[in-house]
Amino acid sequence: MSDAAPSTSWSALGTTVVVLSAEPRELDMAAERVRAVIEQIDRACSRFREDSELSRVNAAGGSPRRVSRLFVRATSCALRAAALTGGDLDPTIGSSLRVAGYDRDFAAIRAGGAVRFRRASGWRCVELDDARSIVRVPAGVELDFGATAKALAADIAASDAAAAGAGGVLVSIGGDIATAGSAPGDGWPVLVADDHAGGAGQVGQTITLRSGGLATSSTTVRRWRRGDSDVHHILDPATGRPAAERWRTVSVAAACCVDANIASTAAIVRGERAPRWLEELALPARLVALDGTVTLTGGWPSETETAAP
Amino acid sequence: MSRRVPRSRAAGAVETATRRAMMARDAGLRRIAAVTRWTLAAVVALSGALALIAAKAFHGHTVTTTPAGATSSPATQAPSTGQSQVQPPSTQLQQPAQAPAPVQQVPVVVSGGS
Repeated sequence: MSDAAPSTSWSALGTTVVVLSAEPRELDMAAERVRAVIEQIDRACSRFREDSELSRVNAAGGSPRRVSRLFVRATSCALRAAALTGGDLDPTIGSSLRVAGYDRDFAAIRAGGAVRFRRASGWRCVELDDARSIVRVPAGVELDFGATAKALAADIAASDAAAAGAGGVLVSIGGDIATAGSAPGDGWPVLVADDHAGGAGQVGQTITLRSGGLATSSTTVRRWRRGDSDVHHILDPATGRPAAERWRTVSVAAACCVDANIASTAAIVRGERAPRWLEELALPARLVALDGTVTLTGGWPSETETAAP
Repeated sequence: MSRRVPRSRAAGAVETATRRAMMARDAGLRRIAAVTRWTLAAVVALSGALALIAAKAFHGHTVTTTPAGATSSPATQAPSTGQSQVQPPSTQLQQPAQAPAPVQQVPVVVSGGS
């Protein structure tokens, strides 16, 4: 990686967090801000912590639960994602993920027997009382904010750090990237590839990001075996099965990381329909098919374009 | 031989019977009026009570953007059922201010699946 901007990284939320600051002296402060936000998100939204708010809402047996403002925000974010994608992202996918074998931190998942997939309960059954900070889901429905919570954490953390005086900040949580403040002169150079942990040497495309967010969703990571099937973590809520693999990796740039992540994950689920949908939204995107062919939308630069001098 | 009732006595008996019938009718009307009043009062009170319950159970509100950096506290049992089902804001996914640009630089970070 380049040493153009100072960075620090650590493991959290089952993935890697990277923080870069355009202002070297402020890196430690920025990292502390990011750590604090990630800890709050983890306490609120983790499916794998019994003491998280999400676990308590899921275990409430249909009773309403009073929650923190952060949890209200995460719920609202997940419901917005569901509404904007026509349910291709659905926060009620929790039990589908569990029965598919993703029932613990990913590092602890082992191969297992065949499973019967279960479709999502449907996001419209989630009741959110914003004014009173109350959330209720019917008994048996399990929320999962995996499609939006990391991106939300990245957006909040980058904004917090920049507002605290860190100058230009980039926060990457598992490859979901949020920026805030003034980027370095040429922007943030980012490699777009299949695996966020694959290093700078892997096949991909390097672009520069000046503002907003960038997210990549891929079926090449977080895979496990169940019976004779190879399962990946992006489920189609309509069936509860892993989404059909038309695209192996989709990267999207948007005004914020949450929007980028909603679009990239929904594009995986939408398959063949994704490029047209992304074009209609005028979102710059790079879609890599299983055979490696690349489709670009919304002004994403082609691989043959050269950098401006 | 039939007994003969004096005419004035017979007329008095009829008059008494008529008066009693009128009094009974008036008393019945008073009872009906009272029952009607109580019924109306009960209906009004019941309507008010139901309206109050409905207002508490289905009060409307809008979703607003929540400030960042909110504190996280454990979920607790809510005292009452918030039945309001909120439709999230339907703003479209927002484009970036600038699309990514090609660059020939060593990357500082990787955006990939996780």
